[in-house]
Amino acid sequence: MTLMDQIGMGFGLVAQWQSVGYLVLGVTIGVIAGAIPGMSAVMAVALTLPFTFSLQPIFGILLLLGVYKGGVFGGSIPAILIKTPGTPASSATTIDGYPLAEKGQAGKALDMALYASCIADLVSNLALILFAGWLASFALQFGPPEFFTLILFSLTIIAGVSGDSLLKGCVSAILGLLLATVGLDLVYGTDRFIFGSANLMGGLNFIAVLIGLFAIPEIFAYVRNPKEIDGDVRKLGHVHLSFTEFRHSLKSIIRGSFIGVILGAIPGIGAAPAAFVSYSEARRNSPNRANFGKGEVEGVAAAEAGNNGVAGATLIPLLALGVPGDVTTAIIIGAFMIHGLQPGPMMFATNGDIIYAIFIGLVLSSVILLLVGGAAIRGFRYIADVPRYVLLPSVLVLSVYGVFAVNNSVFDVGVMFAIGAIGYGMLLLRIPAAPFVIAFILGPLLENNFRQSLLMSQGSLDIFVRGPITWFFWSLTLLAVAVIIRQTLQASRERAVLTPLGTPSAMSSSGTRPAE
Amino acid sequence: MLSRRIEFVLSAFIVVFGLLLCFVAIPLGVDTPSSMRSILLSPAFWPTILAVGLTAAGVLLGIAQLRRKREDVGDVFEPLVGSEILRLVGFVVLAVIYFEAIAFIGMVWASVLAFAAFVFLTGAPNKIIGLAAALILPILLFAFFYHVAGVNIPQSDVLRLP
Repeated sequence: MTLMDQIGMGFGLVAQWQSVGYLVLGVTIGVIAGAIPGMSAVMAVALTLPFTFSLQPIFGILLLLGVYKGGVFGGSIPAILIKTPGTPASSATTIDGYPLAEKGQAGKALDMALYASCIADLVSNLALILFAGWLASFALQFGPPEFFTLILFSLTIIAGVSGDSLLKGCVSAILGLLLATVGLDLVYGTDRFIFGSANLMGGLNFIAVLIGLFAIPEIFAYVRNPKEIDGDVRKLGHVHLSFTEFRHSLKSIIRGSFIGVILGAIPGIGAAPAAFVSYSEARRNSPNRANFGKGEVEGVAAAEAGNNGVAGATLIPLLALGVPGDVTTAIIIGAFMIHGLQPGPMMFATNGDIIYAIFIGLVLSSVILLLVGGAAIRGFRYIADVPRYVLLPSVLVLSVYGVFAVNNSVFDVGVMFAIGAIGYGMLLLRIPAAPFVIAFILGPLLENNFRQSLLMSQGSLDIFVRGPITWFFWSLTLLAVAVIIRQTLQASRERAVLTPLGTPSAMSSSGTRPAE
Repeated sequence: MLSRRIEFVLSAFIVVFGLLLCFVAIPLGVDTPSSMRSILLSPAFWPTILAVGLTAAGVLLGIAQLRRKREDVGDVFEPLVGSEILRLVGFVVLAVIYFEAIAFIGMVWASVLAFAAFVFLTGAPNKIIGLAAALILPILLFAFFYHVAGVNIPQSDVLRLP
């Protein structure tokens, strides 16, 4: 099949009304979920995943990608209107968005957030289309040793999602890797941590672990402190964005989009840092820099361009190498696997039509986001009014149905509750959940490639340094580890200097999950 | 980072858990074939490496606490008060009963009851809305998963839904 055939077939897949319908539905779910404080894009993607089982792979994947894209933008609406970022990535939007809302110019801020998000999303999608294929063709030369070293390097993304404590991130990741070893050994077919339970022979269900870690702890946190989120919803006002204001901010939007693309393509950095880097670059270069933080519309544009620029770029390592760029794409890898697809370079050869359909669908999603986002801005008051005493038990019931639906197994529901309890314990002890999930996904790949390599070399470790590609990834891993250690030591020194003696930092242990 | 005392207990727990894995769970829980070409290919090799890594991480976490200034008390760990403990225990009991009830009364009615119990457990201000959602959502989800997705949602003989 030629490239043109694949593109043609991909176009044919997206041209079906169901594809467009699921994409619209996904973006809508994502925007709503992102706009509800306490619901994250990660949770929304995880809870939507079980609904895709009965769908054709392309419909299911487009639905999930729509949720992901919508969720990233949706977080900006409460960030501007109630000073509560719907997602961690929207924190930078609050800095100028809320002051604008206080001045009665929320409509202007939200218009700018929407346009900046859509432009950055489009730039990010185009970067994905340009680079994913190129990277995948390079990765076609990879064998098990190369993949082992690549996945080992990818595990350094754990540093990026570890929050305050790298060691706790490592503990979380090791627990995830350990949990991934449960089941039958793939080489010898012997038992590992099964303890006589037939339910554990196939390993722990990925969806049960995922929903257990990301949805159930939020329910525990609500049960502990069952209060509605207080927030004075600001009115949209009658001041909307003018073309001149948009034109003045365009440079920051484009710059922010590229910052998002570059940081998004590097596994583990994520949308929140991209938003802050983009914001600070815009402030540094703007003639209105004195107005930043007081309600500067360019600040909203830069922050939103930064965080939405990440969304397409995180799919570059996912589609080209089969390695997740962040937690949400780790979940999307699971979705591919559930639909019998293995993301990575071979997918370009075996399922090229689906790859190109995803590309076309993603570009379409930028346009859909413009329409759905506009409607969501006007309907936010109703979204914000969903009471948590209905929302949280709904998430509980949705989780039970969704987890059961994967394998028709009540045992999986029990696993979800057990992992949920562990997840809440981790939340209280400030052990981040994101490294756990990423390691749980990458663990089997890492071990299988390690053992396949050793089988190829008849037990010789020399195979792991057999060529320039393995050397390249070893070097990258060592470099990443050196940078991480340096940054950790530097941060701990700064903390030691900055922490006032005897003054506890004001962070509640019962709150929701910190930024991941 | 939490207070030194909590972090110390956590690091000790991680070390003990790692050692238990090394000396109890892996020898008992991982079957290793008698004839293997290389120790590196053993089904126990990977879990052992991880258990050692976990123990080492626990030790490093403990050392990091030793190096912390005594005055650096860390984040406020809000202690659980009586009503919070009651609600959390109530939720755990609710989850266990929910899980067990699926086999007896089916997923739909177990979900309806669990949702309703949750509304009362958390003291919802408007119980009518909560109870209405408790009845509607599980039935809607049943309709989707059973009739659209073809998932065989467990049902009991009483009050079977079509």
